[in-house]
Amino acid sequence: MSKIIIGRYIPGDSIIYKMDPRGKLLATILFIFFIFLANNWLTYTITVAFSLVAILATKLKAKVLWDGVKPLIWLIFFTSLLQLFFTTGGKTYWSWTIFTISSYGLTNATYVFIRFTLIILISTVMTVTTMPLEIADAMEWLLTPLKLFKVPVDKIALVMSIALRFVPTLFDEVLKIMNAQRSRGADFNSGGLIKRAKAIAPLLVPLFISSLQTAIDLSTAMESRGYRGSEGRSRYRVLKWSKYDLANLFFFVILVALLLIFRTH
Amino acid sequence: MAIEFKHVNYIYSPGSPLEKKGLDDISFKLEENKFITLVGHTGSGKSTLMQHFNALLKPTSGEIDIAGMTIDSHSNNRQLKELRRHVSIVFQFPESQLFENTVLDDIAFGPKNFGYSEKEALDLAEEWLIKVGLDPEVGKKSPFDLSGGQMRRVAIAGVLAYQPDILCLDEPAAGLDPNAKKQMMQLFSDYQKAGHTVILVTHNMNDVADYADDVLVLEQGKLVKQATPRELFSDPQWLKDHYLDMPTAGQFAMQLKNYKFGENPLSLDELVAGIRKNLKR
Amino acid sequence: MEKKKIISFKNVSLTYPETKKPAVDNVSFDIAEGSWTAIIGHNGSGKSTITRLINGLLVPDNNPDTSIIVDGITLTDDTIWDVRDRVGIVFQNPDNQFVGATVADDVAFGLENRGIPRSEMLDIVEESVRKVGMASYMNAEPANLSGGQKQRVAIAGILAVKPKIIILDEATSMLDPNGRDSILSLVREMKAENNLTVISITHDIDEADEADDVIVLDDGVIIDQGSPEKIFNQPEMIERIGLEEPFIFKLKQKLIEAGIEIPDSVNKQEELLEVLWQLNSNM
Repeated sequence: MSKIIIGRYIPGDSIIYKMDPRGKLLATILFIFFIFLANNWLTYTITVAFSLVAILATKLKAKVLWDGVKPLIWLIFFTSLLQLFFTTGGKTYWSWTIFTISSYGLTNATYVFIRFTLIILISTVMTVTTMPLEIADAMEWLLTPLKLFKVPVDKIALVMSIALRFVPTLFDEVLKIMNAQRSRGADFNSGGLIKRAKAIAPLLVPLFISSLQTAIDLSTAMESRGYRGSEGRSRYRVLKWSKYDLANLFFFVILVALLLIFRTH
Repeated sequence: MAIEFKHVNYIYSPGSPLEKKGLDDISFKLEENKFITLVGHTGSGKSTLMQHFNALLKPTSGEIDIAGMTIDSHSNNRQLKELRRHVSIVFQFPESQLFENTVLDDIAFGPKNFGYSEKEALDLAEEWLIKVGLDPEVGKKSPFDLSGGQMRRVAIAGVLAYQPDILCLDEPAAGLDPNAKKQMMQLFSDYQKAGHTVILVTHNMNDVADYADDVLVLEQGKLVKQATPRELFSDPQWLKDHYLDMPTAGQFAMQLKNYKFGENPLSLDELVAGIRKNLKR
Repeated sequence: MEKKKIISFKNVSLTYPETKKPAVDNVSFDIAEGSWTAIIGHNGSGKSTITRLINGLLVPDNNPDTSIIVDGITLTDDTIWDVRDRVGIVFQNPDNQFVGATVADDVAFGLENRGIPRSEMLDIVEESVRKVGMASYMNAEPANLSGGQKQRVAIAGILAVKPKIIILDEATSMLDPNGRDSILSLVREMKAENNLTVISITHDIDEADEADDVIVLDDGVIIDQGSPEKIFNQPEMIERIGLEEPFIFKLKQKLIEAGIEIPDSVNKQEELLEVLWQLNSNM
């Protein structure tokens, strides 16, 4: 679990950190769409080049990014191999029962590999440089139009930020309960599936009870601190666009323009 | 069969940016069947040290001899279960570990894990339910229908029921009212006198003075003192330098400037006796 | 001089659903403005229920003679939010009352709820955080704070909305002695500075001994109210309800039993020290 780096903020100080989370989130989402515009070697090279600039601009160690890709590396290879063996067309180099390696397959596999890796790298750049809370704020902003359809975006946002706030608390609680039950001879790591499933009750029940207690305490505290729904609330935390976001936008527009110009039509 | 720590180091998340030294070259020896207290400030490494007693944490380097076993960084999990039968930890607010449908089942959970039959485990559960001062009627109730203080007792019964030779307690009386606290401390003191080792983590110097045979003082992951309460509290300057309090009776005695106490009184009775002696001269 | 009453309970009972016995049984008391009142009693004596009745988190049993008046406002469904503006509560569990993602966010929570414009909020948050000595932790996350620090933040969040009454609902019971002492001295300081009324719900007797007024609760009933001297000079009563006397009272008792003459009027540490000094120098 702790190996997955997407979603884990690492403090730092570079241009990317200074960008507004809304811009970063939007750029990341749009990147995932626009990368599909790339369909030849030139456009893929352009995308790789732009991604490299973004990655270098974070000033993060290569290891951090590698940690982001690592857990998904087999999925990337697997998807690429599917492309390699099941795409037909162009020159056929090798064929056995249903498997074929063709020139189209080779190119497709490489494209898929690059596309997949870049998407993960760019998502890692976003999540590593943006605090979860900021991402929640950015998501709230993205969801704002839904207010028109009576979606309680403010409440959803508050719930998200509280949920994020309690992740470490919950983690501590899990660890504490596991240690307590281990001391009582519980074993969470051995035995067959049924034995393991049974072993989880001593962990889950207390966790559920304590989460419930936390929720009750929290709602009591919120109410006594004057929380009475979203109406009439003001906001302490506001996001502000800055010149760095202009750079972000500028950079992104150029990428999309280049992709549109050089892609094979 | 003493407990011995030999140059134990523990490092949290080694090799990561969050690397932190938890224990720093800790060596000490404890006699068995004594009442030991472990004191130090929040973050001094008390909990880290405590979790080494039953190998919830294994030393990064160094060795621990405990309950006839040796624990080091390579100890395997099979050994650990045997160890935990003999050495148990009661964490702070242990009522949060209750999970069974009935109080008796919950108390029997530990004994069953450690190889007692269903019947034996439930018998032990009934026995300890009464020993921790609860009504036998409570046994059939759901633990979640009890008061906080009762839940605490059930949780403690759940550990005492398999009678670990070494019982480690992390602030077991935190949040209890004075009466319940007194009873609980008495329970642990009786358990120790019945031939077990009790290791108590506490901030309360009065408990140290009242119960401890031996005190370990931790500071920033290092063991800075091992002494009897008498020795520890005979050096007010040292205590002050390490931001530790004197027991209340001792604090009061120190302010009686025109009195002479042979030894700094550690309890109310000692203080009263000391005052009488001064006045009878 | 009769001081102004800031809280007044008349014939208040509360019975939780699914129980027969009321948790608080026909309780009446007054609390003077600017005082420090300790409400003591064993766990389950109804102490925390009273906290929750003061700011309308719980609604008392229906009875025409019942009234709860806070700062001149009779508590009803319509005035509940006015009352909550006047009462800040620091709860027991430091983690479960920390709403914001960072210190600053948490302190701002009460202000946000009251719709205070952001421009004003910035100053108030900064000032409140500074007052409780957490200025260097403005952007710290709760996971990286100690229990005592979290309680400081809770106090900052309360100061920010400028209440008249601050209730410590066993607020120090999960802290170590250092945390406990520092929170109590902070509250004392804030009380003096802002003329607050403090109510501390506790079974820490030494904390109660420093109060102006002590209310003793047993099984939902007030069995006594008065100065610490009055309350703690009744060792049998204190023992009977499962509490302990403050050290000084225990010592005084034992000294008297040992045949040392201590005048009845001696109820404070300094007074007892004084008497003992004199006794020894007279010899």
